Amino acid sequence: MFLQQLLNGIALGSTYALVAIGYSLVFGVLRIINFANGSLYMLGAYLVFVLYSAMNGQLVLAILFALLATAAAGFLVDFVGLRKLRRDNAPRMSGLISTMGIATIIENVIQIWIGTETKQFPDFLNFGSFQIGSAIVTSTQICIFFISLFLMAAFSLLVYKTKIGKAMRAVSQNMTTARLMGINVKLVISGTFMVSGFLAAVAGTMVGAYYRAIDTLMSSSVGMKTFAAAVLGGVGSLPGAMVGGLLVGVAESIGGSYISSGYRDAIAFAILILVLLIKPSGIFGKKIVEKM
Amino acid sequence: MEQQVLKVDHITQQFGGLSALKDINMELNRGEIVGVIGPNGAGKTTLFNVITGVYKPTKGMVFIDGKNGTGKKPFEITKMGFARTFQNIRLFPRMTILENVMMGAYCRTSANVFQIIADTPKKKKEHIRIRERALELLKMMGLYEYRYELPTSLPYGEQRRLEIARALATEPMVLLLDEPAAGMNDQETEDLRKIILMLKQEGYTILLIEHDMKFVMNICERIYVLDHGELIAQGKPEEVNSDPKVIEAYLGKDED
Amino acid sequence: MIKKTVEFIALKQRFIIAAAVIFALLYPLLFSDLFILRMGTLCLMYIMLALGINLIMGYMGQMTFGHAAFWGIGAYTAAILSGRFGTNFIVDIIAAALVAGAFGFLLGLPVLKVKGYYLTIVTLGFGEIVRLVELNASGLTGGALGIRGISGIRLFAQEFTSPRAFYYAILILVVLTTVILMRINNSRYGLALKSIRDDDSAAEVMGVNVVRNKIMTFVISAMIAGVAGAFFAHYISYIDSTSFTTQASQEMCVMVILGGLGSIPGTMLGASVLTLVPEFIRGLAEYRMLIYGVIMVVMMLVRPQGLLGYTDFGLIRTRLLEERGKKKGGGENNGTTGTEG
Repeated sequence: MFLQQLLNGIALGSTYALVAIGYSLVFGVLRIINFANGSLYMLGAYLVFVLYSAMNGQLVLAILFALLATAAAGFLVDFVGLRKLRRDNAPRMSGLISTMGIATIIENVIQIWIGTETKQFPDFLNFGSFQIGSAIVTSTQICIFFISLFLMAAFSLLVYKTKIGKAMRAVSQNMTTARLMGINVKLVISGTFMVSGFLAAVAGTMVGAYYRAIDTLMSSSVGMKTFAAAVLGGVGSLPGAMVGGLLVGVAESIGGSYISSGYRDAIAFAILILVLLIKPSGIFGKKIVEKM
Repeated sequence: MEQQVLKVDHITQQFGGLSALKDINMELNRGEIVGVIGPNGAGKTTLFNVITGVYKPTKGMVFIDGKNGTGKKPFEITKMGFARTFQNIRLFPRMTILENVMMGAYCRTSANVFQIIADTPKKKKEHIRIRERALELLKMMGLYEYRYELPTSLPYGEQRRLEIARALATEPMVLLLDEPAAGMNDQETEDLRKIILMLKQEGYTILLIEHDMKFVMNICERIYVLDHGELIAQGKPEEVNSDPKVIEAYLGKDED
Repeated sequence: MIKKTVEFIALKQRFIIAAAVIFALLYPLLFSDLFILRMGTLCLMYIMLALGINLIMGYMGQMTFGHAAFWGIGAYTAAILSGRFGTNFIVDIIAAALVAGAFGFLLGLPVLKVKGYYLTIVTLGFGEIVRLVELNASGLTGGALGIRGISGIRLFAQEFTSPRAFYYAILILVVLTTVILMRINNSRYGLALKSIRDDDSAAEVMGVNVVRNKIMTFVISAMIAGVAGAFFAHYISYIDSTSFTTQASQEMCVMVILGGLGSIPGTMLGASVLTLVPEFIRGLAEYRMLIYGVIMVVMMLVRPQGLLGYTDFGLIRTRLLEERGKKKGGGENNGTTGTEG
């Protein structure tokens, strides 16, 4: 039982980690929380569903297009909702409300367009299952874990080893200086949003495959949970987002089965509040000192 | 000794291992105008922040009018009779000029939330009182006619005057002015000098941080010189002016 | 054009307020249609909720996304009390205010540690946790089934259940809320809130106990929402946790964001437009939340303070009257010392 829940939690947690990376990347660069990130996760899954039906089962192509389209949507979140606010030097709270508005728009467009009923999702990662002790592990879980791990490793390499990553980190430390150094700040910001959209879409697609179904409620709780994961790990920290994602996934899975399944979702929120109150910088985050 | 309104006793302030202030001692007597000077980053504003409770000192004590003020919250220090202005003007941008000054008098009002909701005579009287006091101060500072405008509509020099009016509304014993002449033109600086001298005549004690040496030399009775968080000299303006340590640390490095 | 309109409203504000009050009083007599009466009642309840949240958002400048929790707490308190003990409406309201206020205090406590942005997140988490408790604590709240058959307004040994009775009950509550907010606005507490909104560390230096004022504001705002919740429970007679979601909190915020931060008439405008328009324009109900989302984005981009945000009609009136006085009186002593500059 415990082992089973632990394995379930790791699989789920690794998808949280992917979405949490998106929150962290954006927060690192802009110091704002992109509330639309959770709805991009849902958008990604729905686009796979729609394209898969429309393209007569061309699954690989459908997924590819969906991921790219969600990345583009990520770019649009910034372009529509945030670029002007940056130019106006608006308070950060405006960015929060604006991205929350975009999240509401995305979710409702999907609801109106596709409907609120649960849709069946292609079960494309299912190649069977095997047993470890008393626990059953499905191939879907294994795929989710390794795809997430691969993407996390790839993005760590991107951020820490490449020129683009260097530019990204420079922008997150000081935007003005980065601009003066000749870094195309706009491009870096757009890139960050596209990456976070892409990762969210991958996570959404994998979770769709995991449950073999998607519905329009999938984004609201995941948005909060993955955000909790990002905060737990330390917003702005890439390894923090990964560890935070796994921890929230495991805590939710184990807590949900041992305490009460009704309070399953509350666990992530409780973690979120406790971290903010006790150590707002999270596990890996740096402390931000406010100046007088 | 009973004259003493401020005593800074062996204050040390560290930020993550770096000492912003090292073992500072200073005092201020009633009715004095005292200056704190020093090059940029010498720790002047940090000293103000320690005195007014924004920072809690790592070591040492602050005595306010003979009472221990160490580690008190800023709003408590204000209530004890210390009011300050800020180096980078910090008015309340979306409150009217009148409200900004009334805000200063806030700490001299006491209606609680029940009296406010019941709109008791006490609350009404008190509110009228601070309003009138604020209008009076605005007249004194020559800002009365702008009372319903927003502070951002004022030119720089007048914003500084408004900050002083707001500080005065707290009915302070001591005024702490953080670079009041910064960014002012000659005329504005001269007006400011007159205001400060007028305030001295009214019995206020004034502690001011200043970068403009001429201004400080002109107006202060005593001066403390800070450099790299240390007190390197103190005394009358002419004494400080000729102190070789001061010249080396401050004047020597300055371009003019 | 806009300036002229605003000035006109400012000058005629007493007349406009009187007209609005009379209209509100006569509304149930003018319209006997049940749907229209129901819209008026709901609209007033949303005005009350939005006024309460505006105290936190508009006056204190703190965004909150957990306000529906207090609304729900008030509703459950009233439903449980009146269902189990047969209490009357006044007791329900007071109890709802107290319980919601206690939770407001609880949510206010984190201001000791966090502020601004992070506090907003705490409110969001708080709202979700309260909802999940309402959904799962079946013994107390009826769980997913909710609480059914909540009584009407019990008062003076009678039970009022007519739509008109409910309308007048909420009207009285809205008027009371408005008066309380106006008094707060025009007081030392109002000054403290506005200074916290503008610059909380400067406010602290100017003598404001920021933590205490913030917690107090959470308490008062929660109490207002709690009372609205108690009303809601009696009015619709059936409650469950699906009413008190983060989405509901978001709707309250949008009313304030549209109408105007820190403005009482703005809040009333925002709440009325957003409650009534989707109901009266056929086919729009489905797009309700979509419209809310669009409003959030557009307002942030175009006018982040809301339509009437920080527009003080009283102040505009004072200024206009003074200008006229000057012209007429030919420089009668206004005490101006316009010698400077």
